[in-house]
Amino acid sequence: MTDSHIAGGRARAAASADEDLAALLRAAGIDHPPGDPKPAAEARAMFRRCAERLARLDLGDTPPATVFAPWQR
Amino acid sequence: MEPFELALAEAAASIAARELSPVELLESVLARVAAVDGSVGAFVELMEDRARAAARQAQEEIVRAGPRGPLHGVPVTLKDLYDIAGLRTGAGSRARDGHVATADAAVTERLTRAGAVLFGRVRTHEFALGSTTPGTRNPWTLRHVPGGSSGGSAAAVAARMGPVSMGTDTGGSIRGPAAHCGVSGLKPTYGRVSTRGVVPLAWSQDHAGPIARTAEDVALVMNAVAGPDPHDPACADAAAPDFTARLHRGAAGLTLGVPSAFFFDDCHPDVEARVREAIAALRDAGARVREVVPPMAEAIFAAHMTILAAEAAAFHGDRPHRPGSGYGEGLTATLAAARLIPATDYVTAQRLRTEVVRRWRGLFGQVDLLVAPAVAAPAARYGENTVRFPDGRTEPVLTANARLNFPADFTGFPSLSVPCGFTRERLPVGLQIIGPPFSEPEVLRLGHAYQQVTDWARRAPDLTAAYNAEGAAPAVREPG
Repeated sequence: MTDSHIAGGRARAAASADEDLAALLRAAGIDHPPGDPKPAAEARAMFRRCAERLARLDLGDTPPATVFAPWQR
Repeated sequence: MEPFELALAEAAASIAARELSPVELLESVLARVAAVDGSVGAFVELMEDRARAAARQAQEEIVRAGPRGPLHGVPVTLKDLYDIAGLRTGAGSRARDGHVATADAAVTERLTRAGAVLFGRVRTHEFALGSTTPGTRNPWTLRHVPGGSSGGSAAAVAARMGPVSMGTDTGGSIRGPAAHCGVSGLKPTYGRVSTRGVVPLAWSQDHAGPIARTAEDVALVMNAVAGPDPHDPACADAAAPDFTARLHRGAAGLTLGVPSAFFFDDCHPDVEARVREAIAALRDAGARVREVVPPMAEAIFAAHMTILAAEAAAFHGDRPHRPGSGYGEGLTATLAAARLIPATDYVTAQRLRTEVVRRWRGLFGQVDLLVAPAVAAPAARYGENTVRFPDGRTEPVLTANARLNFPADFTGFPSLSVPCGFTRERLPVGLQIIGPPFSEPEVLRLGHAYQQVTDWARRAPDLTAAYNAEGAAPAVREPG
């Protein structure tokens, strides 16, 4: 495989990811997604990393914090 | 010394002694703003006519009956998130063009009741979601940002454009700018100060609090603004104490926890050095010091960011995503991505909050207060999105500024930043003091004790030299 094949593959993957994000945003009710998809994709990646971090926690049956008094428990 | 150079306690003493009138003080501060804000860029709006009328009224009242308290006749600014009836609350965004507040925020009401002279609104990062505050420069070096999102507040206080400014803190937005600008800033316990009438970022993490020159000044402001608000469901019922009551007890007798993990990880070496020197000074002043491990600190960032982003997306709804919305591109992108955060992730993050709060309460069974860096790196260069550490590592400005502040926002525990020296580039460094819920008097006591044995809080930026070397702030209209 040549460098141009690899670059082409990466470009197609990036375009596909952009389309996926645009579809997700439309499904979330955003009909006018940001013009430049890169910042939204970066933010989405950060939130997904946060989700993966949270998924590794074992919180047992711990309930959520009291939203308006987090220090109460 | 010119009146504009006075800290709040000094100005209040001069006014009470009839050595200084509120009108003289306001005119001195307004002249200072006229002289330096063209380069610092802290102000969104000056309310000169209104302020002059308030100063004259305060003067008459003080002549007749003496001052109501230390804020009577003292000029104060508000971050551009606090409602002032009849004026636009801009929130740093063109999306708010045309907005007019119909009522005062609770803090606006309380400051007015205390006799403060509200004279201007200062810049925030757009809707408080960011840590650079575009349009505002750091008074210590105009090449750098003041931090954010309360960058206008910290820059104004540092540049002696008013001794007090009210900020907000959801992910470090009071303490970060306070640290970067060499002033003192308190994020109170969640619910201690009403956020009614403050444009929200994330309801369950939003805090209102003061930025001033010293811990003593912060305590004086807290006496005016803290306490229950039946109209704010997030405001705690706990009666506000006298926040100055323990100021003069010194550091002796307090046990301070120094984190052996997380807070000093990936810290700029100059920041770490200054903070460790501050801790040594507190030990010399009589405090006991012991190492502690802050529980689950490494998991907080993910949960805090999830909650913050999801709540912000809920608040803004589809407004940013309409054509011609006026929202900045970066914020629109972040809020778009935040719309995709699953509800289950939000709930999991709030569950972690329960566990972290439980364990951090336990931590404060071992020590009275935690001492740590306020921000991992000094202020970033204006216009740059990353911070470069001396070892070549880079980090986005947002996380470098906020990650050490997230734990106190996440738990809702009070946290104060006080200036503790400078880096080799002459950029200010902040010492963070965290306590258990409603322990502001103890947090402020330690901050004041530190400021009795050091003079960092009395240092002022040399703005004349800074102007000559670095030129003026950009004249373009940044958001807000």
